[in-house]
Amino acid sequence: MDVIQSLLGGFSIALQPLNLFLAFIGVLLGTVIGMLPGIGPINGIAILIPITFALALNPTSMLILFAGIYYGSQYGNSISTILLNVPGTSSSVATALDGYEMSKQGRAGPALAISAIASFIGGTLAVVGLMFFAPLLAQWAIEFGPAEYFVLIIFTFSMLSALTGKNFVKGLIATVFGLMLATIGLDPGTGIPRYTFGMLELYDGLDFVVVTIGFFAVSEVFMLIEQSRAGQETMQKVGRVMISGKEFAASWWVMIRSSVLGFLVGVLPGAGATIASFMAYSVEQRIVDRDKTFGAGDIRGVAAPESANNASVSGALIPLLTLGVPGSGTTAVILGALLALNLTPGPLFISQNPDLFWGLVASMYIGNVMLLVLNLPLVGVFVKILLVPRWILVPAVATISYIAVYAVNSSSFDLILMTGFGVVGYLMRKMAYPVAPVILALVLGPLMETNLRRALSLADGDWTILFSSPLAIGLWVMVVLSIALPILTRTTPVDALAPKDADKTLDRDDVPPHS
Amino acid sequence: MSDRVTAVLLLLLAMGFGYAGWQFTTSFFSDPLGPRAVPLATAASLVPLAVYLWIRPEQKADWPPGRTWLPLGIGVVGFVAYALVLEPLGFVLATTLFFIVFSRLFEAKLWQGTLTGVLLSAALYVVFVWGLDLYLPTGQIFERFF
Repeated sequence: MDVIQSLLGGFSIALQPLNLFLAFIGVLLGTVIGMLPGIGPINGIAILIPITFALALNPTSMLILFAGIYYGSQYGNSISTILLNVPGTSSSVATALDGYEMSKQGRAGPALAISAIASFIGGTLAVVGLMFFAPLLAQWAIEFGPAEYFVLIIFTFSMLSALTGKNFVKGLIATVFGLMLATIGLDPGTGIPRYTFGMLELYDGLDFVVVTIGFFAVSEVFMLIEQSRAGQETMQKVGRVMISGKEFAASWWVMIRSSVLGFLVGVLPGAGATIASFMAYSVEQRIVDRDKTFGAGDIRGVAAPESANNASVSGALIPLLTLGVPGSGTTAVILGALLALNLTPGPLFISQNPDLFWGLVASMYIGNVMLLVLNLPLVGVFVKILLVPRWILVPAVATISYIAVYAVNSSSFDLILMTGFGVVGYLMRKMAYPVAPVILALVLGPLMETNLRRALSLADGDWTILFSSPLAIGLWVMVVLSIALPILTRTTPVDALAPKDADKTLDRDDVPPHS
Repeated sequence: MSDRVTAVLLLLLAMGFGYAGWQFTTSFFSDPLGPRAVPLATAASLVPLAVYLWIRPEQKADWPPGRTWLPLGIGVVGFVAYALVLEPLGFVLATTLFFIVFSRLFEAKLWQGTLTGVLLSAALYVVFVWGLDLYLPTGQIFERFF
């Protein structure tokens, strides 16, 4: 079998001491980053990018590290959700509904256990999916010419805008703002400077690390300063991190179904872990909640979102690796890092870089096992980290952000720019704008423009090229639908999907932006 | 209210962005679209969005109570000041000062912030400069000692 051969090759790469070490560091940092409210995988990866560049890590090792942070954070986020009722990332908001309820009833141990097991099942099943479907999708992706790429990117923008916030128009405004930031610098086509105001620092364009850390980490520091007078949350007792055979049996099919659902949702552009977890929760509520126990501490209400959000991570890697078009903020940041290393993911990426793809897949199998060990017997160690006072944690995060941004160009200009974006990001978040579309547009903006101009060059300026293939027309139809539906129904999928009681949690300030 | 103010600002941004984008022309050969089409389209797409925001503003923005603006202001000034003193004072001293200010914002005692700041900035310097081989400024004011 081809797959088995390739996978064995992948394991020989993933088991190299450096890669094994990086997978461990990735999942360890991911768990901590996911757990700490305010720091999500976007921040974590953005901060590590300059460091991995400085260390001259090879792309495979870098991807193993970043993916570890990404899926590791989906394990860690449930710890603070269950114990403190403070979702570590937005994708664990649905977990809070039953998870915190369970811990209030003194069943925090079983809640943590099922969340680790569900995360493991979701994570592992989705890697199987990634392994089989990514090469298939890559073959299909060869159909994509510049015109189709252009429409696909437009579709990604409209989907992310529709799916991230409560207000679709604000999502689009955030996207357009990101596109504006993306045009700063030398025009790739003609080499003339655009929006540089004569500043040499801007000729290379804005570095996405500076923008990302500003929008996510610095704005988060301001959010936390605002809440600094709110007082510390009370932590529930952990107890024994175990579940009974009966509880496991009750959750088994829930976890399998939610994993498949989460994986499929993850593949869609714009719909990431958060949407996946909400969908899984409401679907399972309809299928298995006969006694109306969801929301009252039902263990299946923890199993569903936790397996779905982990599964969505592997799903989200598929469009990133096979089309080069990420669908979420976190995958956009990973794409930015790959592009900076002159690696352009696309239809031929997997076949031309088999070591990278199969090494990554193998490392994800290993990483999920590591995470199961870290999150089941060792969860007590992580809980201690939640006890670190805010007055150490927040300045420490700010300082590490500074080191990372300074490492990009060794310039104070970048630091001031970063602070500026932090202020803008803070204001946007206070006015209910999603910030992930800004990052996605910043990374995809140049790709969108290049593909549009290439398509029109090939067609000698004939605009009908954008509507000439069935694939392009199909994508346009989806663009129209994704824009028309939320406007006509005046509701966003987030509203439609969110379980009734989630509103209280969703409106809270302390839930970090979508990642 | 906040949404309406934003709508006006966005319209101004669209106009400024479009006006500046109009100047991007080249005399030499270029692709059919040239460098200004996408910036102009981007600016144009902001106009209907801003108009929509003006027509249909949301109830209210979630602004913090008045007393938190002071710590927020200190936070912003602290960030900018940190950027400005990083190279003259060097990483360790600048970070310690930054840490003292920021830990005070989170109601730590002065000695707690100072002690943690000194230890943490030294530890981070060791990890990032000696361990990970990144460059961090040692400080212009210390240069004559070396």
